[in-house]
Amino acid sequence: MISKKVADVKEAMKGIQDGMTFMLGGFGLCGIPENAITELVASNIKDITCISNNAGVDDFGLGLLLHKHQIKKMISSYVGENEEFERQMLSGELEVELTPQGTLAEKCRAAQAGFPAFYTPAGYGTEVAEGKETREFNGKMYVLEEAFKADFAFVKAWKGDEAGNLIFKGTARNFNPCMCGAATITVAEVEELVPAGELDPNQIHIMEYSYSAFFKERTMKNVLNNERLDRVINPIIEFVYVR
Amino acid sequence: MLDKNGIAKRIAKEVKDGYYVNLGIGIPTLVANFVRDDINVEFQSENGVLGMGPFPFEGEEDADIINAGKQTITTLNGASFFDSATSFGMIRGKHVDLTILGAMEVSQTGDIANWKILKQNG
Repeated sequence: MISKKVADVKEAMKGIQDGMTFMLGGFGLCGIPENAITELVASNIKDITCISNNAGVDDFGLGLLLHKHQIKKMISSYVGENEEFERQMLSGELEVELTPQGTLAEKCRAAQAGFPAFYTPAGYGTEVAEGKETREFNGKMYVLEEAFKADFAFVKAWKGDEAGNLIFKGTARNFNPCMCGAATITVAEVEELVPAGELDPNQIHIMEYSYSAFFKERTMKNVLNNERLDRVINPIIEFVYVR
Repeated sequence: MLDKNGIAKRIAKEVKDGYYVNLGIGIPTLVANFVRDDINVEFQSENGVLGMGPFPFEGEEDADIINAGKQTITTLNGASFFDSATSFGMIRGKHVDLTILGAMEVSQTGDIANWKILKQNG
């Protein structure tokens, strides 16, 4: 077994630099790598580009990085429910690239699987397709979309083993599996870390090969009908990271 | 003029037996409340669930199980969870029979402006 554990969150995130591009899993506030975000905020890293379906809310998720003006550009599909985001976007402080959600997911999956680009019908004839190659297949028009290129992917999983295998829970899965291995370095945070061999290989969602690092951290279950739940499901036990 | 529930009730008539139906944010999520109970349909949500059930009772909510509108939901027997690329693969691959969208603007010919106000040309 090749262990993917690292000592702590700092070690897992070693190498983050100003100007880098990060992928962050999550849909709404469900399945977001909240501990990695906390560390990014604390690191004071700046001019970053974030690829994430949403931009968090004002006081949670990517909203925390927005408030400190650490994000230069957001690549997202839905950016509502965040006043600071709106303000920065309208004032021109924040560059925003809106991408149809299925295209966003596929650009991650393409990067993960080693495909440089793919054709999709979504966005043809709209602003989304401007400047992009288009092509007809079987009488229908498609837009060529390129795979993302990112330096780090930060994902959140439910269970993980020391080898770096992951299992996600419910709709907290969302973009997380698509981002594993889609960046140069992937950092996963898990709610429960178990020894290798304890997870049933038939039930694993993401295999260890995708991983560079992972760790276990305290997690806060966060979305209940749009209200954050300040209920800590797991106490801090230890940092067990991987790189 | 129809109110939100009235619109949802009307849309529900489009849902047929054996359909897999994607529900978007807003009024679409209300449609499930008005689907006839003598037909079998399964609701898909873009964030990665097929087989959505009704909203949970208080105290039974699970913050990791939500719909596209970020509301907590339940799942029915036979439900499954999947990642976002798979979810949109279902939709773009035409494996979902009907999708019910919330739209910002709709033209007479069915064009929608849904995710962003397009820039004025020229």
